[in-house]
Amino acid sequence: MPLLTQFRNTDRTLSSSRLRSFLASLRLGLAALCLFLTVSNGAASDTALPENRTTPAFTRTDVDGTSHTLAEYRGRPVVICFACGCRWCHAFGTEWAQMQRGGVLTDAAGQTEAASTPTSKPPITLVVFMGDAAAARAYAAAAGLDLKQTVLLPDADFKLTRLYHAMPCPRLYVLDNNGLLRYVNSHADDAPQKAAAALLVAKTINGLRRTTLPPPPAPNLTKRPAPKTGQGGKHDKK
Amino acid sequence: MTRSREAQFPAPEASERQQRTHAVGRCLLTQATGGLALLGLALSWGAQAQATPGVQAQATPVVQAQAPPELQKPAGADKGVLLNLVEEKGVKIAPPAGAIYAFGSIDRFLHPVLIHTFTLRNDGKIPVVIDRLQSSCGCTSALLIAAGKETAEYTLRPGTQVGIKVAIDTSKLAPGMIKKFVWVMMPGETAPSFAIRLDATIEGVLTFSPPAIEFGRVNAGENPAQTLSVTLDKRLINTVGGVRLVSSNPGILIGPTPPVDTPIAGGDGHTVLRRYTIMVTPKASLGVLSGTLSFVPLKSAAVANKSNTKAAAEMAATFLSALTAPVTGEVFGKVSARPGTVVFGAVTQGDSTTRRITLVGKTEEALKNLKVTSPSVWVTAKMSIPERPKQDPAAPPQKLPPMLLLEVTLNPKTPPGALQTQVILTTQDGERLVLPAFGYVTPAVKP
Repeated sequence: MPLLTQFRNTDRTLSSSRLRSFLASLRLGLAALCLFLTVSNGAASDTALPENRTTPAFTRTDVDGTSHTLAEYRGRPVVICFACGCRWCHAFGTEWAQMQRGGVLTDAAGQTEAASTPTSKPPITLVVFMGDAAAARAYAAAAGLDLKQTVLLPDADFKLTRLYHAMPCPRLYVLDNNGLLRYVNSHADDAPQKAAAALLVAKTINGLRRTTLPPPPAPNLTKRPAPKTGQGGKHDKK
Repeated sequence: MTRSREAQFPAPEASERQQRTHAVGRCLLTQATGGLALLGLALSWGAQAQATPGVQAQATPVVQAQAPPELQKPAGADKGVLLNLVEEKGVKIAPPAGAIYAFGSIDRFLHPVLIHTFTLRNDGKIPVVIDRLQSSCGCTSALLIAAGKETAEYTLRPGTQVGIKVAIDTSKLAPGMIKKFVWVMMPGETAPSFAIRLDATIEGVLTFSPPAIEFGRVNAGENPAQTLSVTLDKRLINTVGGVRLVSSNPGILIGPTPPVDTPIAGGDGHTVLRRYTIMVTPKASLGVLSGTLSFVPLKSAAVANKSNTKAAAEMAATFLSALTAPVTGEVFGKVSARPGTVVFGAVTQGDSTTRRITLVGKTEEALKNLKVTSPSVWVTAKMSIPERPKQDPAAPPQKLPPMLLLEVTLNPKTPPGALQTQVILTTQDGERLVLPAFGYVTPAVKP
């Protein structure tokens, strides 16, 4: 009988131990789930490259057959626009052209007398077009892009598009003078094919304005930094 | 075969985050919504066009299909996943995990949306969970069709089949060859399990030549003109009872009225040529000359040609408005502005944002008694004399032009949404300098 009691007690002890272990596992699981959901919601729901890091190097031929590397644009702000010619890309391109024509990009990147940290060269827009050269030209013409401020890079094989995790379109990357990615439209409010073209343009301009500011502290390489959900906030204010 | 294998079947970018289910749900929801919209569009158009807007099965010759390197080892292949498209006319199988479908040459008047339903079969011995379909372009949507119904996720058992309904909205695509992709993705995998490449050659129903009108620098009072040639499909014109070319900028004039339609010799018989003269009016405002030229129907959809349905006329109107020719340039007068556009950027509601514009006058007199107005109640502006940049005393003195600083402020109470307005400066001579003003106000985030 005592033996049986002992067994029962042992069994109870074992059961309690298992229960505690189960509860601990459950807590851990719930915590992991919460973390997972937080990261999924807070960070971009897509796969765009993270902000405040350098972006992959590339070499690409433009519509005229001239080879371009990303490195050759060091020292000037770069807007990389991945577009395919769909209605979202067309809407963005049309509004972006107005910014180019109005001299806004140069102003936003601190090329004016009022700029505290003027950059040496005006910003350039690299349009990586998911199609051939003819289609890239047609897209630029229909949107009215200023070809003096634009380089058209056809990407019919989607290599660069894949390298930059640029789908869905339009995907916008703003790089500063040092090639640091200062803005990408991967946030909850500016996701491709969801945000209005006007908002994408506005936030890309904010990104260009950010290029005149000192870079943020080096990111923790073990953790992807949470994208900013604001629009540049204080950076925009004069 | 001149192109690389990889070029034929690029796979989507992959990341661990892609696998998260709720993100996938949103993606599918978006695709489903887009797909439904496209299907509705196609059906309404089909009623008018008397043709099925989807399938053009006459396959043009395609290169020998081969899968890209990454699809030589498609996702799940090591576990026995083996997917294939059921062979049909127009489908070129590209083992081990790809296929090409050629829509052929597309008359966009008849086929504004290309639709085709493929049949995907599980030739492996294990069930395959299809997590989502990813398309390479916003103009392309894809849906899983199981038992005649759309489904978000599907488990494809060995030997069974599932439909993949693909729609390509061609209304915004430039004429010429297009290549679009749809990738079949499994949960937890970073590479696609199968890829479908969609080829088509898009014929133009409305083309502008040149595609854009660039006036460059225009002095105030001048009225330069350029010729715009337009090829138009008569069927499109007839659907809406005639079309008229309009400009979004009142400073740009269009002539002649009415235009003359000239048949194109040796053409397809339903395309006509129109030549327009595009001119800057001598009274155009100073500043950036920006606008678009587009066609609008002469009649509203409700009173369109009786032989057509209202939906078809609306579709034609949408189709017309999708194709535009931009007009660019800048008109210079006694006063100019740098930059020539006021952009507030994205602003959180509650924040006050000010942008500075430098006004330059040809003479001191030109900047006297400038009046500033804006049609928007949310935008205010004031002028001041800017600080002159310090000059190097050793260098010869530079004569700077007369300048004023214009500070344009966006009211913190501006309601959320896009803001598109103007800031107008009027000189004492009556010249108007118009600065377009843009911004996007986002709602303040509550703590």
